[in-house]
Amino acid sequence: MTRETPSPAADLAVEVRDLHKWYGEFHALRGVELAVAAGERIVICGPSGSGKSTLIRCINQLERHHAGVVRVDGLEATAEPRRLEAIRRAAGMVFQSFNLFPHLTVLENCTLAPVRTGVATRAEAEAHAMALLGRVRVADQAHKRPGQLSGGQQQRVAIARALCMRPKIMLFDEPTSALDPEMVKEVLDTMIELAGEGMTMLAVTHEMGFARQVADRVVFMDQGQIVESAPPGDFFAHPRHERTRAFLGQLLH
Amino acid sequence: MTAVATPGPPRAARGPAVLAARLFGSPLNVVLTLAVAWAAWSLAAPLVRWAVLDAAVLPAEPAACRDISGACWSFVVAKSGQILFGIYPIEERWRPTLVCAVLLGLLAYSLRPAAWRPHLAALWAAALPGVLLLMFGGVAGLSYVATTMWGGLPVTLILTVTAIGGAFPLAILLALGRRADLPVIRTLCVLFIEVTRAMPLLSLLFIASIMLPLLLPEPLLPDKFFRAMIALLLFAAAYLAEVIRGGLQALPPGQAEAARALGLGYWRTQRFVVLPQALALVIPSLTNTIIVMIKNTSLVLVVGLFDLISSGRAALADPEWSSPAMETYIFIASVYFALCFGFGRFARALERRAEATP
Repeated sequence: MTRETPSPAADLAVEVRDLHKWYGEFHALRGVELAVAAGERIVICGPSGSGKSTLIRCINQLERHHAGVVRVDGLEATAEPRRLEAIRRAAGMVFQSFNLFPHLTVLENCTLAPVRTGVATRAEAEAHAMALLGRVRVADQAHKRPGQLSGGQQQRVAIARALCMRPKIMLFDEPTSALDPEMVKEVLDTMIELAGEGMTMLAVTHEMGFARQVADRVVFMDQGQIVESAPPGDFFAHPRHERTRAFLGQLLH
Repeated sequence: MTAVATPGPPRAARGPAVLAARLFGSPLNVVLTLAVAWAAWSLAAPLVRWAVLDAAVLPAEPAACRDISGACWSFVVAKSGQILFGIYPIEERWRPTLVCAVLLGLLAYSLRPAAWRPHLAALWAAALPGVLLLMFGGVAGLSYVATTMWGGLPVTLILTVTAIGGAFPLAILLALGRRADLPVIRTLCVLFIEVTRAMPLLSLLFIASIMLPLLLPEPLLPDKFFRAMIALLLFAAAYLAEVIRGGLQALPPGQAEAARALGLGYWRTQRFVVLPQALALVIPSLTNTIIVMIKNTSLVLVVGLFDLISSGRAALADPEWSSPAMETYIFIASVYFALCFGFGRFARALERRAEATP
């Protein structure tokens, strides 16, 4: 690869510089800095209202930031629609509430975007979708509607649907928070498998077991800022910041 | 049956014994049943006597109705051509007949889900100019017939199909525009909807037929028929837009977010994810509004267009006959009923289809 102006950020999957976001008067993100290398796995945690979901939604520009820079796969986020679509194709997203399309079958959920954006023909998209549905172990449900599936199955379909666009980065916004306890594991196992395949991942989650097992770094956010960022071993054993210690204390008790 | 078998849910009892118990089970029920039966009989008996027993159907001449006390259907039979086609030249009546056949046939064809493919839009796009050409004539040896000579069912059908068919896409754009990010678009859509909705359809029709000619120079001025058509279209669009907006607001925002997060642009998100769900949510109110709009087309009579009702009234002016107004209006009402009831059944089937896909 030859680039005219090589910057140190060139091979970063996600780069966030001095990011600010307001909701009305509320300053939701206050100068967030985050650099994620290709293949890196980041877990973001923090109390509710700390801005972690806002941060992840700013990365694929479901929320527009007010100041600072967001770069995904080398593309800087602007308001230009083509640029936004390219960024969203590079960064797949999985939501807390699944957000599957209830009027389409599971297979149609997976093939809609690849076919309609012209990334693949219908035949290619269906073959790819069936392979991915097999990988998340819901291939036998392909012709059902999402409403006929359990929550865990729906979230695994949502993961497969995002993977159908062949993203380079996967964003997870509390993917297990809306699930019944017995279904959390099947979704986490799928995410662990994905991490094992080298996918770049940013996950907002309170599943600290998952963080310990797969994260390269755990990022702790509070009041719109990144307070602490460390490998899981250090993060859990020696949290440096008082707010991190308070948060972990609450989580464990 | 073994002792451990669980009983099914209790079944509602049926049969003549139950019916008898419900109708005559208590003194009050006996009184109510007899009262309702008497009321029904005293209404139905004269109606049947008037409409069937004492009525004249054939021969279709004024003499048939001279000495009867019942309905004069002979008039409707004799004047059906005039009621259905107005003052359109009699020797050319095959043209509006063909127009009605094409429009009704195409409507019936469009009701089947199997027909909802891109070719259907092409079919309509070809049929509408074809239908207008057939009505106007002036080409291929057909004599020219001005819109002032049009009348009856083809006018009602053309106005209904074009006004509602054109209003629906416009309404979708208005509903989306009202929720757009750009303030200019949002304001324009709100302004259009609020102004149009706040005006009576009658005044909108008068503006189109009387005021517009004062404002526009002759070459730019569309025909009165098309001015009325556009007024109906805009009026229907304002109402439909608000119904559709209701569906858009009922849809969880996560649906559009998920589509955008997959890299679908705005229009594809609306077309494949948002609108199919939002429209299915508001089928009952859409049906309601569309049926009202079908009947609203009859208001064009106030600006001098000959729809079904005006051509019926024109037929009644024949001094040879003793003005059987009731019979004529019943006939016209039954045509409207067939159109509206047919559409209502179609909407119900559509709703069931949407319900079948949870």
